[in-house]
Amino acid sequence: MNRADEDDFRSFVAARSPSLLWFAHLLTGDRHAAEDIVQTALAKTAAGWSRVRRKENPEGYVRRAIVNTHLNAMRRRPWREQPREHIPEDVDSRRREHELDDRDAMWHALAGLPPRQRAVLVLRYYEDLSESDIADVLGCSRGTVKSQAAKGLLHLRRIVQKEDAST
Amino acid sequence: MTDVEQLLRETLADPRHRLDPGPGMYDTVRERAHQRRRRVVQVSSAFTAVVLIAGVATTVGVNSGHRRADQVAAPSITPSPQTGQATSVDLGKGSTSAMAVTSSAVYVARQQPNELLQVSTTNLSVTKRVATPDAVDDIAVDAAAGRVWTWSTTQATVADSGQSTGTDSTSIHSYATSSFAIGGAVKIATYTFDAAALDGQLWLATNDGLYVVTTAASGPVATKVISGMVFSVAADVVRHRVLYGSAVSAPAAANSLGSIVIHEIDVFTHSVIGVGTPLPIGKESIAIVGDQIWVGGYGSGSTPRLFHLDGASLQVIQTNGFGAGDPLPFGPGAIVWPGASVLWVRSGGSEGLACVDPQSGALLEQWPAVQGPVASVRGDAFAASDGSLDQLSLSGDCTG
Repeated sequence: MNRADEDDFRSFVAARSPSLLWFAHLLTGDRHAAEDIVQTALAKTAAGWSRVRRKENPEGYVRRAIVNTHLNAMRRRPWREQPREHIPEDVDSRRREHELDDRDAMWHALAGLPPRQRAVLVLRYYEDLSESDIADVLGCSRGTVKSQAAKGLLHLRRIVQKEDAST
Repeated sequence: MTDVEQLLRETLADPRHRLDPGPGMYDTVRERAHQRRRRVVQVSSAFTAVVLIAGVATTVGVNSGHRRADQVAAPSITPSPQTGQATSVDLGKGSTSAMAVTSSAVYVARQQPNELLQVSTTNLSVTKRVATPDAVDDIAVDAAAGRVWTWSTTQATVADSGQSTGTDSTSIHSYATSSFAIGGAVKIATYTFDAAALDGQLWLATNDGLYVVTTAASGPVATKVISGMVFSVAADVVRHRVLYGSAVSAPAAANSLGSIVIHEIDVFTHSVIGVGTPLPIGKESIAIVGDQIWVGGYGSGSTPRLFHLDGASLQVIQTNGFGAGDPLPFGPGAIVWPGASVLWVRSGGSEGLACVDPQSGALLEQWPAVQGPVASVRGDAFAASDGSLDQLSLSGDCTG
């Protein structure tokens, strides 16, 4: 990387790290995992930064690298994480009276989704990407994006409805 | 937009989920980028050195002599490992979750819809198809017994709400390879990490121990053989035994994964007949290629990630760290799968797949973008990569 590229990359990391970390946190639900995949994605990007910086949307490229790094890390054995489909009771009861109850319940419900379903929902409802763009990022069909989103929302709806019924 | 979608938007945009980068963010990224580049340079340098040494050795007829029995050797590096290509196999609707391969067919588990397919290795056409009762996690094929095993771990749910009870349950099914007829099913209340088929039995490494599923007149029966967490199990068709790993020490530090020991079990008596020495890795995987045994795992610092064991004694005869000081471009851990005549190794950091000579440890071919798991027979190799079934191009010394 030449001096100009390095300066540009340094500026990009400084300016966009908070946003990238936020995005990664939404994908992983874990701050340490988020830091790791952002660092990994940026390190992969650094080698080709002279090419990436000339792209129309360099940040989009990095975000795509973050998604792929995360999904690859979650893939099968021996590190496969077990999705949790239950809401931890202590968290629910502790926060039930708080005005942010619903969001907390939603956050914990997200933890029960498989990584790919969660990624679809984050890309759709946080990044506001179209189904076609999400399919492009994840390397799957639009139909898969639609079905994954529908399943994810169904799961979240069930959890939220159960929460409503219990309060 | 429904209330759930609105709440999801609000939750994702909730500033409490914002993370602030540490002060050394850029330096950390730059160091990791430099480490990646150094690995590439080391491969090039090793290639040059090996070519020079090989040339000199050939010229003067150097005989390197015998290695001391207690000497642990570094792996040799094959000159100019090829970078292979991967081609996605079109299997229609759905995504691939697992596969296993024999000399004539690839058995593929698909989700959405849940199916088990038999695909011809000759022309890659689907020759058999059956709906599976679960979304299959993984497959093991026992060609000699004419059986395909599938397993799927789920959490039990409350009927009305669909909410999880938090209890893991693994459903195991067996299918006849000739007809795809279900030969039976059995459930065990565990989370299954790995499994291996041998001599009509299926061995499962689970969070509750090592189980074996045998087939009785009434159908499959599961029996716990070993208690405790077991991450990996592998079938040794040469010696008719299974190997499994178990943790022997707790992590000494936050960045340590402790150590594991490989055990040997007789498939007829189900008794432990051999134990190896501790290996400083965690979350291990085992691959047996012919009489060559390799164990990959995650480690910390510059400790080895990959171990070549002697088939009889289970003692270490070769190691590779796959870390910053090693010539092969791998990261924090190594995951291994057996081929028919090669060893497959994927970086735990998801930085590529390698085909390795199981005797020398030499790198034969690599695929930077392919993910595992991988299965191969001589001449054919496949990966279940990112939801699709990829056929890997084999060239040079990587024979599958």
